[in-house]
Amino acid sequence: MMLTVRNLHVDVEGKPILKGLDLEIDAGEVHAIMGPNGSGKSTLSHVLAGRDGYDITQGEVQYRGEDLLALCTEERARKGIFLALQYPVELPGVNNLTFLRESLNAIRCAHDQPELDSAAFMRRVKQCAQQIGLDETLLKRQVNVGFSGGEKKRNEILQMALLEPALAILDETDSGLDIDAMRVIADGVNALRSADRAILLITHYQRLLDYIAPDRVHVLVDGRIVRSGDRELALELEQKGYGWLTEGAAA
Amino acid sequence: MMTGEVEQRHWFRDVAQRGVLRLPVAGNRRLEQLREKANRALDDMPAIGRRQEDWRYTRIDSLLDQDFYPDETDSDTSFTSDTCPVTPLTDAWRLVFVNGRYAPQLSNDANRPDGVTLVSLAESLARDPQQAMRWLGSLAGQGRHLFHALNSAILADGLFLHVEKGVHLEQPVELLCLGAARTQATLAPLRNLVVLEAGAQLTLVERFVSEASARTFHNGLTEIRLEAGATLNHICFQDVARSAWHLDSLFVSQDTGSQYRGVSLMLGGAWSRMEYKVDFTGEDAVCDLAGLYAVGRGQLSDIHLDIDHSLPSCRSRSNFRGLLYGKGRAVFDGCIHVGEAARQTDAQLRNDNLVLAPDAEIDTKPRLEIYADEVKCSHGTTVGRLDPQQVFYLRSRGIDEAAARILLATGFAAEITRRLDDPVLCELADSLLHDRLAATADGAGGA
Repeated sequence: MMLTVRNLHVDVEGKPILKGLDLEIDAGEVHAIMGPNGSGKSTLSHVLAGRDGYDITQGEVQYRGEDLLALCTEERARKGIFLALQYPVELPGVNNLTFLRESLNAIRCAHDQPELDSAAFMRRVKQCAQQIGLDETLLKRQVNVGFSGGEKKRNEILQMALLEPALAILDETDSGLDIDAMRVIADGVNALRSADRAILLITHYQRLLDYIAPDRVHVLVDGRIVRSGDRELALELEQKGYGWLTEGAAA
Repeated sequence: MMTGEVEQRHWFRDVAQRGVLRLPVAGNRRLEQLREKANRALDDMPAIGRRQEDWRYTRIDSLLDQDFYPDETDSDTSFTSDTCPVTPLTDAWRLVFVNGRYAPQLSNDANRPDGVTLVSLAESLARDPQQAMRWLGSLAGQGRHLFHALNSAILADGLFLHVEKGVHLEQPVELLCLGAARTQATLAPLRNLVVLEAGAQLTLVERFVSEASARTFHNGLTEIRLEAGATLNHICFQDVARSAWHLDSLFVSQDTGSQYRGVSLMLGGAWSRMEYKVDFTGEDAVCDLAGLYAVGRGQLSDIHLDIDHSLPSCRSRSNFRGLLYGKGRAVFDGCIHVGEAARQTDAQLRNDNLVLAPDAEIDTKPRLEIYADEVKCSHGTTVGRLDPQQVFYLRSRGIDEAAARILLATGFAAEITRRLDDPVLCELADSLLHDRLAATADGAGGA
């Protein structure tokens, strides 16, 4: 199993957000987690990536047979976990290429691979940029500074394509994108699908799933997975909304 | 405790006296008068104390604890690149001073174009006693405090750069000031004079480096006169030893339509102070200042701006950034004065500080004094720490925390360092900052 989450309870500033979440993702699979605002979707993604400020009160997370919660953020990244942020952070003064190269080399280094020389690195980056339709001039700019919403999201997908993670978590990567941009990003994600890789899509709307077909869909309500199913579940949610599941959770 | 006034005055007189003994006979009446006047100022000027605004946050005790002596060693042979590696600028005319003394054999002023005087001040005074004396002291006058008086009292050498009307120099002029370690604490005085006639254009790069254990006190004073439409790009890159003291005072006078673009980096020194005094003597002149100070354990960096808008329609920009990465201190005291007649003044003053260590201290004091109507003036100051979201973002991409902090801090500094506009200097600034920050992250500096 790639990822196993058991009975995960997480508080933020003393307030329970995740209240016993269970989830299993196997290599080669694409899972989608859907749910209304405030259900804990982003909390789950941040906890998996190792962000500070989340108090894990109960439960465990196994990643490829290892206790994920015992690892610090950069160790997780080096072991193949990647989080595409819902709101990518601007890094004033930090050149995008420098950022990409430092990331790639940190991860290569952790796998005892040699650092790429400049020429090889540039070839890789340009190839990835082309693949996801990122304007190459953005590579020379400061990370995310002055990027449009769509450019920021593409820059996240570029990092994902470059770093080739084992488990990619996409937190509302579709939000704020027009259909064309979403298609490009979906193509980028689909290109990454492989038997030894898993992808977790976190989304509020089902429209992303028209382009990236998930193997499993989970509905997160009030900190718990209240229903899991196949693609059909996503379509059902689109028709009925979350109300019928929310009531079920409250009962 | 600030050293007592009596001791302080003794110190200045002793240091001046030791310097005077070594002076060559001027044979130049005006120069002698200038020195004598400065000598009297050493008696008359008020002692430096914390009650003065300019010195409120600056203690000079550690400096006054030392007895400084002029350097007697031969300047040309006393220095090797083994003890102090200097990456040379490509294609620059270079004047080199070792502990304030001209080193002709290390310098390179070959193939200067017509219309440019680039020479050591002492040489110029010997050759033509009147040329430099036309301007020397005309901008700095008596100076503002005892260190300025000390500079004038033993005024002997420095850079003299004069560019005739309309001459544009593509190739930069480099003034390289090397601090060499001696058995005694060493005074390195320097007096520079830069005159650009109407429409002349030039880049001047001043670099200050020293041997690791040098206990030098660089007391530099530069007068810069820009005539109508002249443009000077002026870079000051200071990275002297932590055991050294560095004072650099710039007096700039700008005539109609002239442009002064200054970029200063202050990275080294136990105490490092820069003073800018800018006056406009004509309208439509532009003064664009940017600077970066980076201080770690045991360092004090000290910036003072005094920009005087007394005539209409001039523009000034001041953008200074501070990086406090260990238990260090910095002082930023920026004053822009807009006089009654200075309508249509456009002045901005910014000071942003990034504090990486919990026990660092920054005292920042931007001041705008506006007495004119119809002006566009603003000032802003920030003191902040690294944003945890930014650190997380980098770590989530596999970059460890120490490296993430370095990337973000050098990114903060890049707003200033990219203005250096020279690949050698940009790379040098980046790698120096990187090394300092990395040493701190290992625990040496207490971040």
